This record gives sequence, C-alpha cells and structure tokens, in this order.
Amino acid sequence: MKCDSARELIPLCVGHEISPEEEDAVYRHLSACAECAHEMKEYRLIFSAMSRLREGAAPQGTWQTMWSNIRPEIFAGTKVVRFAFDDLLRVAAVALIGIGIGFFAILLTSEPATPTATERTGTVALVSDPIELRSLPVNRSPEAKTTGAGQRQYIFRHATKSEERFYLPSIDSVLPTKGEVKF
Amino acid sequence: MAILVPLFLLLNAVAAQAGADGRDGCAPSALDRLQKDFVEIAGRVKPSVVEIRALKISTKQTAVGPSSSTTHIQETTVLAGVVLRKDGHIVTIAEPVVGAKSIHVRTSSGVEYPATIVGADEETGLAVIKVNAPLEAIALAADEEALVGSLVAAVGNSYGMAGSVSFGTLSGSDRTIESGKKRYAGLLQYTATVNPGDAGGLISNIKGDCIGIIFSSMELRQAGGVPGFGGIGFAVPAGTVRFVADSLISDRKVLRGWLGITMSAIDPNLRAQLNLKNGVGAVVTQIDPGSPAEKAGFKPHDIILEASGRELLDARKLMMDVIRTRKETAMKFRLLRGGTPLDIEALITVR
Repeated sequence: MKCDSARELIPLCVGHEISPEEEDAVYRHLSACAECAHEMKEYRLIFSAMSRLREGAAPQGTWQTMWSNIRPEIFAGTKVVRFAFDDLLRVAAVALIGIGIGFFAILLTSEPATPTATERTGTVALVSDPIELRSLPVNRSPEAKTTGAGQRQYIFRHATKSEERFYLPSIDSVLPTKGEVKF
Repeated sequence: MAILVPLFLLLNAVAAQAGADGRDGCAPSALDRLQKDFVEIAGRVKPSVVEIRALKISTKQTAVGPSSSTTHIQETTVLAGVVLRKDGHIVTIAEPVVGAKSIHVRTSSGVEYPATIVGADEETGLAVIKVNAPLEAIALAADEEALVGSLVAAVGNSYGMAGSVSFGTLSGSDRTIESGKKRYAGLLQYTATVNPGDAGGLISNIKGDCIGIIFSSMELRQAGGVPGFGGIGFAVPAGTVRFVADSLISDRKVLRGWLGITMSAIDPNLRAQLNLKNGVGAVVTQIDPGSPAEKAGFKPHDIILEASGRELLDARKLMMDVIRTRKETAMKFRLLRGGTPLDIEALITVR
C-alpha cells in the first residue's frame, strides 16, 4: 500500500468503517511509514476529543469574546467606518428636520404671491369679506341636475372636494298674465 | 351688461338735467350723490342678509343583488336668507332647508350659528328658519312701494361669496312662472344680476327696505352650456313674505282664507254697455264646486262691484284680503247680475 491510499483510509480506520483486510493493510503500511503513523496518531486524538463532546449552553459572553478576536482577522487592513457613518446619518436627519421646519415657517408667514394669469383661470382664493378667505368653484362648466321637484340646478365642486350646490332654481316658463285672480 | 346700459343712461340723464339747470360743475356731484346713495344702501342692507348652508344626506344603491351596496351622499346647498326679526327669524327658500340634516347660518360679520326650521309654505316656496341669537332685521316695504321702473338692489350669496350686491330696476310685477312641477304667481320681476347661491337673498328699494325675496332667475345659456343671467329675475313680494312668515312663526303653517272664485278684468265693451265706472269691479269667471262662493250663491258672469262695503278697484287686493283671513269670516259683496244689483254674504273659510 502506498502513502496516498493509506491516508485516504486512515480516517475510516479510526472509525472502524473499513474491512479487517483493509485495516491489516493500513497497519502494515504504518509499521513501515513514520509520517502516516503520525497522521494516524493525530486522527485518533481528534476522534477521542470529539467522542467526549456533549450538547449544552455556551458560557455567557462566548460570542462577544470570539467576535472580538475574529473581527480583526476578518477585517484585517480595512478601516472600520460604522460609527462615523452613524454620525453622518444623525447630522443629515437633523439637517432635514431643520429645513422642513424652516420651509413651513416661511410658508405660513409669507404673503401670498400674486396669482399668474393661468392661476386666475383656475381655482383661486378670493377675498369676499374682510375676515375670511373663500375659494371659488373649480369647475367652470357646472353639472346640471334635476331635482325631484323637477327644478334644474347646477352643482359646482369646490377645491375642498366637498360637493356644494349653489341654489337658484331655474324657470321653465313665464306664463302670460291674463289678469285673472283665483282665491 | 343689460344692467349697465340703463344705469349708464340714467346717470347721463341726471348729469344732463344738472347741466340744463345751469348749475355748472354740478354733474359730478350729482353722480357722486347717486353713487354714495348706492353705497349707503348696500352697506345698510347687507347685515340683514345671511349665508345659509343646508346639509342633506341621501342614499344611493350602487348595484342590485348580492353585490349591492348603499352609498351615503352628503350634499350641502348654499343659499341666502333675509333676517326678518331681531330674535333670529330668517326667511329663505324652502326646498334646500326642508328635510335638511343640519342648517347653519353665517352672518355678514362672519359669525356662524346653527339654525332650526320653523316652517315652510309649499305654495310660495318660502321657509322660515331661526337661530338663537340677536340679528339685524330689515323692514318689509308695503307692496304699494314696489313700483315698476324703480331702482332696486339685490344682495345675495353668489357662488358662496357673501354679501354680493348688484343694482337694477324693478321691471315687472304680478308675474306667474313655472319652475319644475310647480307654478308660482304674483312675483316681482327685476333686472339686478343674480347668480346661483343668491336664492333667498334680498331685493331692496332705495330706502333700504325689503320689497322681495330672490326666488329664481331666467337663465341665459352661454357658450359651453354655462348658465348666465339674462336680466330677468323673480322675487316673492314683501307682502306675501310678511303674510307667510307671520303665519309660520305664529302657527308653524300657513292658513289661507278661501272663497273659491276666479275673477278677471271686465271687458271694455261690457263695461260701456253696463255703464260702469273705469277701474271699478271685476267679473267672476269660475266658481269652485263646493266652495264658499258656490254656497253663497255666486254665479259665473256676476260682476263684483263692492266687497266689505268698499268699491272693488283692485281684484288682487281683494284676493290678498281674502287669503290673509286666518279664521272663518263673513264677507259682504254687492254684485251685478244680469244688470240687476244683488247683495250676498259669503263665509270665507280657512284651509
């Protein structure tokens, strides 16, 4: 038996997973080869140690201890930037909140801009009396509606999306006055 | 535009008259005075006009069968109202407020109050609502003050723009219109511009008294199908408003006296043939079956010469006197039947 074949069979031999004939052949090679005999010795030690392993909870702090040792090896030569990035995120968040507050403050305190010609044709706030702002209807072509009483009315949709109808019943006909009175 | 032309002519006429009187330099002041009067009237009557928002909720079935669902639709109707009494009674148009889930009133100063309906009158289409707050009331003018051709101001809530004011003339009276399935008689006609949202608003004379409540307008179709105003609006006259509002406030319904006759003017040839004075009397054209008039013995073609001992000069006034009778009342009439005078008494009933 040559060394290559012997080293393939050594792990199986330690676990008694090969035939007695193959074991005899492995041991005959080991008696003549110091290196393979040393390999057999290493395997026997590992096998013995593994046979003593039992399931159980790891002591507290095991992972932290392991990670603190493993991490420098994994990220060896790489600069750790985690905390710097967190700081950057914090600064950006504070800046965004500040910009937002400033934007709304300007929006609430500034005078309304004069509407452009285009805006005037659409929905614009109109001062109808000194104390309140009211909006004009949006739709320039109101939807006609006939009520249960047969009257035509026009529905204007407001900017607030609530449905409002401005009441002024239309007339179907004006009857000729015959000078008659009925009572 | 229809309003501006007569106004322009009127202002020119005032200016020309001032010039003809030899008062050089007075024309501008005459115009100024007219303008100041208009501004003063508008300012005086506006506090008595309020915005009314009536919310109604209707249900709509979207499908039939197992997948059917009911949608609740909220619809707010915006119109105007006129304060009739300082204790918060407001007259307006009935249709939007009758059956409303909630009614809110906003005064010209911007204060908002919840309102309740006091009553509504189907015949005139008017309603009275009330808020529990003191408001600035307007005086109702006598019907005789509503002279055709006089200047009037309309104050309403055009498209929700509170206190919108326009001026025009009283262009007619005693108009009968049909709107929907109903007929409304005895209305005033005016030229002041009104828009949707103005119904229930005020028509005032130049003294700042209410001569009518804005009822409707004859729409003028413009390009694109948008309704416009053609200078023909109609209002319920102040006398009718007073009668209806007083009845609703005191009884929560309108009781009307009933005689059961239809009358018309006497034909001039017949008048000459019977040797009747001009303007006196009216001819009975129809008797309602089972009516007090039939029971009293009225016949078609009778000519009524007197009512309650007074010459009959105005058939409409007699009608209003009868209608405003709120309890059974005997009324004496002097008739002319076949050329022969006849006195009869009818019992005006209330219904």
